[in-house]
Amino acid sequence: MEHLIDCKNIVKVHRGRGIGGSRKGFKALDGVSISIDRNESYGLVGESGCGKTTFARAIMFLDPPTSGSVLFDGTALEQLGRREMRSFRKRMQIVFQDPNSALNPKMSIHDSLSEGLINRGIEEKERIGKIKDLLELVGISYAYKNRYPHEFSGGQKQRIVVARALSMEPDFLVLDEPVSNLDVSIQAQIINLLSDLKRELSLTYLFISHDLNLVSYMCDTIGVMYKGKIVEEASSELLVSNPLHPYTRRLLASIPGGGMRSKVNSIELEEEDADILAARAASRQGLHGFKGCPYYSLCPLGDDECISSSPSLRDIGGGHVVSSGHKVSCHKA
Amino acid sequence: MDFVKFFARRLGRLLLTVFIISTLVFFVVRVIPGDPALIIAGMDASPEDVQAIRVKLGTDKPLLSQYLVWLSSIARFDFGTTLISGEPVIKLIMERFPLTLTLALLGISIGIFVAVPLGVMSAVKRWSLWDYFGLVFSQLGMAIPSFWLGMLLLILFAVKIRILPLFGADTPAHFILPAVSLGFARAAIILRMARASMIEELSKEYIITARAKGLTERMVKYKHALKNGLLPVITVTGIQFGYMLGGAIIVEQVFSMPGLGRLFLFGIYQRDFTLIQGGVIFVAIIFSLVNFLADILYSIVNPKIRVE
Amino acid sequence: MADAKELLKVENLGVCFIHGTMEAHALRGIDLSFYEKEIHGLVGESGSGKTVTSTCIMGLLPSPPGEITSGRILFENENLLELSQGQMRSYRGRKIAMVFQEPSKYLNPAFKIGEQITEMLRLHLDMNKEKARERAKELLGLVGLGKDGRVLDSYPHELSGGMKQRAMIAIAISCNPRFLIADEPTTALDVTLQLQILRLIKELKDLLGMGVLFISHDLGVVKEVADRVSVIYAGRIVESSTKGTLFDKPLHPYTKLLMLSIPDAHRRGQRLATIPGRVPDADATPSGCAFHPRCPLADDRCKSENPELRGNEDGHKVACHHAGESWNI
Repeated sequence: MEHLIDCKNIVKVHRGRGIGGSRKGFKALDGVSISIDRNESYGLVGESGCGKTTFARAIMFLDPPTSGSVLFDGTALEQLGRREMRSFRKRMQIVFQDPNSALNPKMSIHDSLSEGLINRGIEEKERIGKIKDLLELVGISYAYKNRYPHEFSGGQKQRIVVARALSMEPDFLVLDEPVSNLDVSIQAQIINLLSDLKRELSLTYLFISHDLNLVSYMCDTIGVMYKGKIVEEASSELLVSNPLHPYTRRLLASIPGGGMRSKVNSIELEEEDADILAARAASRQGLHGFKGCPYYSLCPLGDDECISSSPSLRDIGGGHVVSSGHKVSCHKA
Repeated sequence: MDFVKFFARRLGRLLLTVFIISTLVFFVVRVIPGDPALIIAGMDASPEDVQAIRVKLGTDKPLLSQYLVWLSSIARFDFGTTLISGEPVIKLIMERFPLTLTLALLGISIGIFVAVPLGVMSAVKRWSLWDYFGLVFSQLGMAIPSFWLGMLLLILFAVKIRILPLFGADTPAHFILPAVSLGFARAAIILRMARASMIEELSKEYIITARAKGLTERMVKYKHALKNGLLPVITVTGIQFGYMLGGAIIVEQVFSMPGLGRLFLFGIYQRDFTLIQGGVIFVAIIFSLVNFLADILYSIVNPKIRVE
Repeated sequence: MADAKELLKVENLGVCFIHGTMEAHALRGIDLSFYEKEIHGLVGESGSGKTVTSTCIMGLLPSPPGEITSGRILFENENLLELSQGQMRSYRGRKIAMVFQEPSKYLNPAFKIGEQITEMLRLHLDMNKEKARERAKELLGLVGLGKDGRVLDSYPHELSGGMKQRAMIAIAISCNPRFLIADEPTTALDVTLQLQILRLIKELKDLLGMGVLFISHDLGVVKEVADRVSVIYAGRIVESSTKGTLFDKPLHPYTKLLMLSIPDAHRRGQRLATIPGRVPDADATPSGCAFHPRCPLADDRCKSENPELRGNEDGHKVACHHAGESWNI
């Protein structure tokens, strides 16, 4: 299958403080490469601050990467001019976690949805029909079109945000924790909606979440991110049934309820080993240009090899299924 | 360690501000159309006289070298000599400064010792008599200009009741009315800030924690909320103190006190531009210094600011 | 567990918030029992009344607008609702303590962790400064913040999210409370930290013999940590049982649907069960069983008659006219 989006070696360095960023910058993304096939759903999992959202913003050029290339449907985005980029960006839309801040409180939902359509140059008559279709698609009655965001519940707002994203007729949708702010009974509604939309409209998703349960339900491929790097990538089934990176195992074992714990023989540093951790953290702080594995300070398997060199992401083959790759960056995998 | 770094950073910022102000003052004076020497010499002066003044002012030299000379003299607190009397500007300023500083300190004391407690009480006992009193106080303070208040006070206490002296700065009693008229408006702003800030802090989540710990309401309010609530008050008080130095000019005039304000006013009447120039820089330095001190104080109360 | 001592009992608690002419019935008569050395998980969605419940137990219900309309809260032979503010204050922090959701907001940013712990010890246990500091150091060790007491002199902003929550727990347990309320204590934390904090709460519960009310919207978290679980919906307890029974044999359709609506790898390719509509607002609770507009089993009786919370022989309580019935999903 053909890749819809191909991100190569995305690096994002947040500028340091001081005039001209003179102080040391912070490397939020450290050479991330992923590709997503058409109509695939790629899940990016990781804990807060690992770079998930930075990555999404970088590949959409909302906050362009420091280096790296993004090939979207055969076009290199980093080479586009401002105007071309704008027309291209319609094909990539993003849905954020918090629907409250995503909608303008002073605009009726009809106006919110019209905006994008007007931008696309759609005539008023056609526009009304489109808005009707869009609202129907996300399960909001057209009769509510003149209401304002505060008159809707969180779940309904998120539906409207999705409808607005869809009004641009994108091929690619970035979903950044789209259900994290919603009530449990509403989450499933939105998840089902997103699954339906993907099928009906042949969409491609980059699904960002901290919730491995959710991502493994929703996505075909999962990339696990840790400190700005993909540490493991595999098909959803493979990653859950045969996690190789100690961090992935730890994430799986941490899922509350313990459903995964028995399957993953997670090796975790126990609390008593806090001294080891502290010592490792201290030794790492001493070395500013630490060359080793970024997970070393928390890893129960870490040894000298992990200090001296950072493992690169390598394909170790897909176990039973040869065709699906299973990539991991760990010396001890 | 944090603190040392923070101190150094703020000190750097202070020096940078002073540098920028000096540069601005220098160029503003030079860019304004009209040769100061011509203005000083008057319409009838001969070209030689004008040239002589230029040499005296140093304006005959190229702009860049003037600028360098200017910066190096500022760094030595040498603001030149006045055109009229030929005395060093800094000497005149330092003669007058203690009086203005006293006035400003007394004025700010009203803010600190009256307005802060009143603002805190207003917030803690919202919509009580305290609060209404505080609101009226701050409304009046912001509405009444200080010179008008000064005159009113003069008429009332020095002319009608005659319990306080009229003009001058000879006894401590002379300072009471000017300090009140100077401090009132500033106190009003500080009161508002203290009230708003306390109200905000009292609605924060850590207040719930404090109550859940079983602390008494006194501890919740006057320990937990107050320490956070005072933070913005410190900054505002610093800025208000700076303004007070400027406001003193008018109040000193009303009460005929020989402070900095009258000196600068005199400079303006006399078109003594070295005096004015020196005055502007001096006030700017003091203003920056006060804010610097407020920042340092702030960081002692709130260590979080040091890491930003 | 049957012989465990009952520690705190909420009986028929009703709470109403009055805004002008609008009355919002946040709690409509709930019963909850808490036992020593037991974690009682209270699960519900936002607006279901979880936090109001804990606020009432703490005696911190803001009034107005809140008003307790019925019920008792029994603790150590006292009805907490009848105590004066002063009496209640001597319970708070000392015998009933609380841990909150977002440690970064619920810790006072202007005081060192040590001060935030010792002020309680000095107030409730009359310790002097040195003794309180020693005890605070022990407490930090107990919650996994190191035995050297370095954290005592740290300000909250100097600690990571997980460390802050540990500090918050140290504050809560400082006076050896009999009862601990944990209100979504891990919701703001990353999953790996979440598990650590949940384990810590379990350990401390055993160590100190506390009863715990653990509030969460997350069934997984409750499954991880609780011994007994109650499900709350629109201000009523709809189901309550020991954890094992509840997760194995949920009887209320709401509980069942909640469990079915959680995505995970096993359900890949299947549609998730959903609960149509949304949680009703407290000022517009539906008649009869509040869940009936969203319930697949609802009939005319459910619309008019509010089901009682009834227990069967093994103590599994449920409030539903169709308890245990199944339907086609």
